Amino acid sequence: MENQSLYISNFKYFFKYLFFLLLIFFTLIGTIDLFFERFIIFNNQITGASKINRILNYQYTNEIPIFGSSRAQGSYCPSIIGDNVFNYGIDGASSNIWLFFLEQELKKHKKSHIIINFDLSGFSNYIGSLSNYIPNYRLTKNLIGLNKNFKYNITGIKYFGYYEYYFKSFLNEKINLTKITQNGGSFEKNTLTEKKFNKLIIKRNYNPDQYTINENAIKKFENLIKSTNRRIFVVIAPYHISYLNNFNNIEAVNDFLNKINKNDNLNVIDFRNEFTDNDLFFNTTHMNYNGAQHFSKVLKNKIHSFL
Amino acid sequence: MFFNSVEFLLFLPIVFVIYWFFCPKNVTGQNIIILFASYVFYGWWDWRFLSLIIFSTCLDFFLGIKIHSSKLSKKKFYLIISIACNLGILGFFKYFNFFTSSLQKSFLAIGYTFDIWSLNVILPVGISFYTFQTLSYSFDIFNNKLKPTNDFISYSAFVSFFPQLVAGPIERAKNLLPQFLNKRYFHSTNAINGCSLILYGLFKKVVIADRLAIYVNTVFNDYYSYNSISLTLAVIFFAIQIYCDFSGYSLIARGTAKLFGFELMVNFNRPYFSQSITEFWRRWHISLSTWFRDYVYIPIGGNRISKKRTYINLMLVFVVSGLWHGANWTFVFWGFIHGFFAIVFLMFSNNSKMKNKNRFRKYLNILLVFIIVNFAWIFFRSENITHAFKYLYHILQFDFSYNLVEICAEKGPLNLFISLLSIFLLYLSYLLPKSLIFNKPFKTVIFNVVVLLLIIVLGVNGESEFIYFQF
Repeated sequence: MENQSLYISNFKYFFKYLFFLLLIFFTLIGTIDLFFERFIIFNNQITGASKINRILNYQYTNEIPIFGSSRAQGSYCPSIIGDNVFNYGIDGASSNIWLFFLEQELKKHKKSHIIINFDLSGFSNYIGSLSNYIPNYRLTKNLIGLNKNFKYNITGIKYFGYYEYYFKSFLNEKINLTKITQNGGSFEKNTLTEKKFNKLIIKRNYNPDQYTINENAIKKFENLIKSTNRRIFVVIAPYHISYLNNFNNIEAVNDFLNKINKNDNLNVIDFRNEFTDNDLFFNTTHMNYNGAQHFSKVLKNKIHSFL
Repeated sequence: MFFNSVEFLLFLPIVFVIYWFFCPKNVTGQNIIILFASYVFYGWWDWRFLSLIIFSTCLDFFLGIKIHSSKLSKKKFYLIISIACNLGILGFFKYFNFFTSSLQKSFLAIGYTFDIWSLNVILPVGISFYTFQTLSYSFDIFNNKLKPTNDFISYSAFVSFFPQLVAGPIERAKNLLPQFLNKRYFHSTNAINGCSLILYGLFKKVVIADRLAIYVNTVFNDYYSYNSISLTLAVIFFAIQIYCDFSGYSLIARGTAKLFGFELMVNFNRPYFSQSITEFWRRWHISLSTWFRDYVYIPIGGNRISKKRTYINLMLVFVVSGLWHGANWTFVFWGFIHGFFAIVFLMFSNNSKMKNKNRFRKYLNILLVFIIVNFAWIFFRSENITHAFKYLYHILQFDFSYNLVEICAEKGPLNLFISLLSIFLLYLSYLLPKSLIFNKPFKTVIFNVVVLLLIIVLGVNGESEFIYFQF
């Protein structure tokens, strides 16, 4: 009998301990999460999370948005291109994400023009880091196909493994140690060593890219173009020559661009092989800050010539 | 099933509740639950290889009884059967491909080519660990250090005990088996200490080892693109990564065992504070090094014979222990380096009359051992011997040119900073009691909350495999 009560009291003590441990933990982590969302995640302009939050929840009437992937984020300097320009480029994201952004943008009552960075790789379904979607998980879960992953709803667990990413972006914007940031754009400040860059060129020679066709995405894009009177600029930011030399079906891209260029409210601006200097590139597909500045100046003039 | 997976997070409480609340309150009932849970745990990876564990269990259970009840000549015969079968299975699954390809390469080197029968043999997880554990049972019975058990369920549960099944500690039957033969009682203090050990182990794995792995993997996979600073840093990081990865696993194993009323041996004791290579091996993977000491080194003569033979024995044990880690010449070379420096240290300490009372000399020794161990880790981590030597060659280029992208291994300064921070946190954790038993309950709560917060905030997401699973 004595053993039995000792046995029960041991369990009571253990579960009481577990209860208090979890209570304190969830209280603290909940506070940390709140702090993080308010002062870190949404308090900067370069994370995908803050950009998704911005496109979903805010309306800036005069804003000129730039949509696209990391190539958009790292090649377009908003301050050079014009006033009220904001770079919505998201690292690792592809056409499905910028189509989502375009869709959200066109729901707003605005008149400003729109810039879309078009990657020659075409239409694919990469979403980039999940961290971009977690703070607005309920609104974006269908987009990223994570309907059943309930852990992103639970405070204390949902940001596990992603705090660093948010903090890194926050620091990048505040300190600009390795990146220069402005209005959503994030530009590589450092350059690779010549040895490393040459290695990337060799690697590229063995890894050719190609245009991917996705009929549903193309149809969606065409419908969105037709649904608005706003002017849309589809821009192809510069690639390193080694990338273009290792591209399998360039004709297919050209056909697609020629086709959409026939829309009255759309202009294709093609800079794919306008810049050849290695010093302007961070790697074979992305420009560095120096390259982005050069490109943005030329782009600004080009856009003005259409307006 | 990994300890750092969501599956285990659900598996552990379910087994805990069934074990303490729903099973019959006797030894057999408790052992049946443990056995069933262990087979589920192992079968989660690949149920087909459960047959190997069952075979190994049956074999040594019956041979153990035979060894005990037979006369000396027969005893030896049964022991040899046990050794041959266990090492035969281990050798086939672990070393078959290695020896056939090595044989092929050797003949190719002398200009003779031939096609050899080859199989795509999969290495069953944990085979090196449970094979050594069952072998120790046979050895201890043979040496009259242990009486065989007649309780098959208890013995099966001892062999397949899930917390230490796939990566140790390699428990001795003398220590663990009696715990299976007696009824376990729940003690809240032990269970709470078990939770602390589990969390601290997870912290070592998820916060430190997985963080350092980011840098290490990038540099080792692309070593020719980095300068001496990054290459050296990657080796040091790997030393800490593998320590935290493996000792983290051992802590989780010990903590989990405590939740079920068991005590497992301590497997690591701050090895990088060793002042000699032999001391390092008294602090690193203690269950394996003592296994080799008791069942290989001492039986072949140990240090009770001439100095020359002692050195040969020492080298043999280190090379074999290197080979135990994996079927690759890199591990053999790694063992050889440890053996070589263990002998050097032994020769030096034999000749030196000076005891290490001098603090400066103590730190110098620690540094020297750390450098030697790091040098050996290059071979351990490399894909093959050529890779290791090329890596060394690039370090010895003494290229200390400054390039932030390169120093950060293209992962950014924040990753490097968090890597260094995690090492600092490891150092801070050394200020805590080794057993993680605190004198006041609130200290335990604070420790666990802080560790949990660190895991969530600084942890690397990815459920990466423990390094020692591959062995």
